[in-house]
Amino acid sequence: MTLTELLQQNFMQHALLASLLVSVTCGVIGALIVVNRLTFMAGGIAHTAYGGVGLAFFLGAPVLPTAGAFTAGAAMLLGTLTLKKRERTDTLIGVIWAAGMAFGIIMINLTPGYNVGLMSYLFGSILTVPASDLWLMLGIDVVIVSLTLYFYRDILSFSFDPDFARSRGIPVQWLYFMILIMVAEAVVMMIQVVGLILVIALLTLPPYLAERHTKSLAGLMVASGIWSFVFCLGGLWVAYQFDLSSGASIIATACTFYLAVAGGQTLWNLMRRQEKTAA
Amino acid sequence: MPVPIIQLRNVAFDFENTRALSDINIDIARGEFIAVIGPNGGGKTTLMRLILGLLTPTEGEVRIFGERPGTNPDRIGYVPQHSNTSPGFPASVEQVVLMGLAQGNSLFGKRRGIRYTREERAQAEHAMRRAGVSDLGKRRLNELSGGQRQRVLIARALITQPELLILDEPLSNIDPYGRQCILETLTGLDAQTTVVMVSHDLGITANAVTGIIAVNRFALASSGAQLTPAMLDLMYGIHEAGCPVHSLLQQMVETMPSENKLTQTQGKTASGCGHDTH
Repeated sequence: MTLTELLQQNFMQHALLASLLVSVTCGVIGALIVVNRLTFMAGGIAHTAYGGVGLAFFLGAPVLPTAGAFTAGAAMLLGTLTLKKRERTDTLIGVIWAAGMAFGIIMINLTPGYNVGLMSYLFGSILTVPASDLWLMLGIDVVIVSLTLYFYRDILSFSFDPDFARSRGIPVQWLYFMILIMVAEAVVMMIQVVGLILVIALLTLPPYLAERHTKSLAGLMVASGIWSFVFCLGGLWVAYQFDLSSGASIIATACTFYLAVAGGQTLWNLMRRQEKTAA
Repeated sequence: MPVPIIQLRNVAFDFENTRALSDINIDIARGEFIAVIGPNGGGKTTLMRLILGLLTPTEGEVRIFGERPGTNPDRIGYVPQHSNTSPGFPASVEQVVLMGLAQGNSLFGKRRGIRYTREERAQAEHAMRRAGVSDLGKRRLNELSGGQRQRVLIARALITQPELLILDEPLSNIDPYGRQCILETLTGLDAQTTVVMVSHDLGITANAVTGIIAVNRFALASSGAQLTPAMLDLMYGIHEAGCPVHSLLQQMVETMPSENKLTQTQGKTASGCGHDTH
């Protein structure tokens, strides 16, 4: 099949649209995760989403909306616990992380029949995204982008200095919970693309790359979104060329880019230092 | 007699079943420059957070401009300890200063959205000039020295032209030149601006302050820039002559001026710090 023929296929058009929609959310939420140092928290939320997937299978309910509600609830619980016990944040995240996955596995065990498609939630299946899920992704994008734009100054102030933000009357706890819920919905959206095991990589690698060449939080969000889309396209191409898993190919593409840029920058700095020493 | 702008009446604060502050009665008048001193863990920062409304007293009452703390954030500027902020954050100096305009009291207030108006940028420019960082507007925080970063945070606090400025250890981990620049900025503010500053370094602030509050679970205030024996007893206990702490405390007393001196630097731009006091 030629590339042109491939691009005319319905599943590939859905995959490209899913990549675009997910990249918008990755840009916004990934930037917030990195600047607020919520990477481990986001990982915990991502793995807890499996509990929602299991619950959906058990109840015979649509997977993404059920997982979305379940994960948002888990995010609120995590937020409440970590605010009360700041010194035990990593322990609490680890507990909820494992408990969420265990709950999901038990729910699936209790679901009669053979549950096809479970692996797609763990490792992604961007090539099988239905139109209904694309509309859901669009809805999540609109909500996340609208909230971020409207509360941008509050989010910026809170992310930089929560103490000062509180002194300005900004409801920092409310913002914290809002960000965690947005992370939860972003994660559920991305399960389709890279699976919940690899979600955290697509959320964090684009901002890590983008922060080298951006000077504002808004710029970081836009650049992260662009990098995320590049990785999705590159990963899809690699998966097509070598008949590999699409989710893993996307993450492998992202990691390769990151190592190349980081390695290149280190080499460049070394060369400049040697030039200065020689001079 | 004018009403004090900061009033604490019988304030106590408990932190996890431990009484951190007890029986605090303080009045601070408009235009004063107050140094809050005391040992580590004595309650200085807790006192500042009670004044800002970040904590609620277990007992007693706090009034700022006659109202509950946090009622009008634009009248108060706050400079937290600079160690709370991340130098690698993706924001220029100007953007950090503009964060001082964010206000959460109104869900549908004017100050929303990504873009800043020309008036807001002019406010930021004015605040940066007052803090002596107007030439650093486009630079990122991780490119600045500790002293420069602290002055950026002071500019952020000054952007709303507050009547009360509260600073929590603004001079810690700052080199002597940076400290001098910061002090020049603070003493060069409008005479009606009240400054309350937590500081371990009483020596360097000696010529600037109009009053001292010593805090160590309780609080004692002096009417001038005088460190009294009672304050030293409160903070460090009674030490006899020959004890190393006794000679240290003697040195602290000797660094204080014998009279109440306030160095007037208004209108001056000494030391090359580059700030504009107008």
